[in-house]
Amino acid sequence: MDLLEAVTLSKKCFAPYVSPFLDTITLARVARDLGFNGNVISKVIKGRQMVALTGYPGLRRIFTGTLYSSRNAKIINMAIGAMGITKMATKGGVLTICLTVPLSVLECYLNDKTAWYHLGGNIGAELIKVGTSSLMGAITGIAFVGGSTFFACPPIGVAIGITVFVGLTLDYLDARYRLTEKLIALLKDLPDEADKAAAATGQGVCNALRSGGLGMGGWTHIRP
Amino acid sequence: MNNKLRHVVILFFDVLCIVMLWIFYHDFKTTLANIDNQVDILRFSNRAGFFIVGIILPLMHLLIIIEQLWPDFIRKFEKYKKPVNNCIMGFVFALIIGGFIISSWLQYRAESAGYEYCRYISGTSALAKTLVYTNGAKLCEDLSAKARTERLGGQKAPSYPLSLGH
Repeated sequence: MDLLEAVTLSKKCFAPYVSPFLDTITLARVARDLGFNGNVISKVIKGRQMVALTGYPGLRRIFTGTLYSSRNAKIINMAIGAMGITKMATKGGVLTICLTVPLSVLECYLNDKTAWYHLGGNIGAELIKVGTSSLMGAITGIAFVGGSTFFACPPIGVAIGITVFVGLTLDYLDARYRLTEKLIALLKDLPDEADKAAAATGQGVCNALRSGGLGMGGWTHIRP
Repeated sequence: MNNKLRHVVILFFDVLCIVMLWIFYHDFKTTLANIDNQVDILRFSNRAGFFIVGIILPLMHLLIIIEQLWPDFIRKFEKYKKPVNNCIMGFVFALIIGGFIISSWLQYRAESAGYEYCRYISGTSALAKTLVYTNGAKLCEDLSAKARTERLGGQKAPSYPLSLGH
């Protein structure tokens, strides 16, 4: 396996699954501490948003109390309540982007057969997918907070599930309607369109972009 | 988030899950029909089976609605909470495993019908891979050469061996 294959493998098989894996660990820790039959109830007490935990506090390792503020660090870190879910989704999205984007850049740099528009199109598509799926996961998780008293940890589970589900859906729709390829084609035609729009002023930049069209090596040397 | 908005948001995702399940069912049926009819090119996702997991969300929403509208009815089942929760967890795991089995079975079915996996034109995105199977290696070579030419911006593709198979 050469370096390019290793980078591609990391990008495809490792980077997208890190965040759901870490979130699943959080879910497992919460489920182990509260039990599948324990429950989290949101309450407003004296104007403050609180989180009440059912079950026996003496048997728990993480949540040793019964009533916490919704802004409590332990509650937020364990993705309980609306703020916890929001933080979990934001952290997951940022982590995925931080892993995917550098690997995409490295992959394009190592691959001589890709152009700058492939890099732009792929990163743009990945960012849209990751951002949308994280946002959707967070919204659904928040919607589930306090929704049911029958389940133990549905908001975290639902947030993780919906994030992965929306990611898969966007991938599926992308493959079905070839949206990334269309975005790449759009970026490829961008210099020509820019030439038409501003023939006199933008010519230098567009020619430079076109000259670096093939190979990331060419792309990196077009800077003035 | 107030109660009405909560239900509207969850309803939106319920519809998304059901629509994706329907699209998956439709594509699954079409792919099987294409395999039977020995169509030249097969294109399907290796994670398509996981859309069956989406059925969980509408079911959970239904339970929440029942709990809010008829709390007494749910209270009757309070003593069965633990086995019901365990059954739900088991059902979720069964659906995830089912997703794996369906996806793998579709690939197995295509390969056993004589199709060849065409690696070069199979696309890979963040979470899934679009598998392309062709009816014969020659077609795969032609499609790969065409794709390579397009990727090189219209220049003639170099004549190194094509990567076929897994």
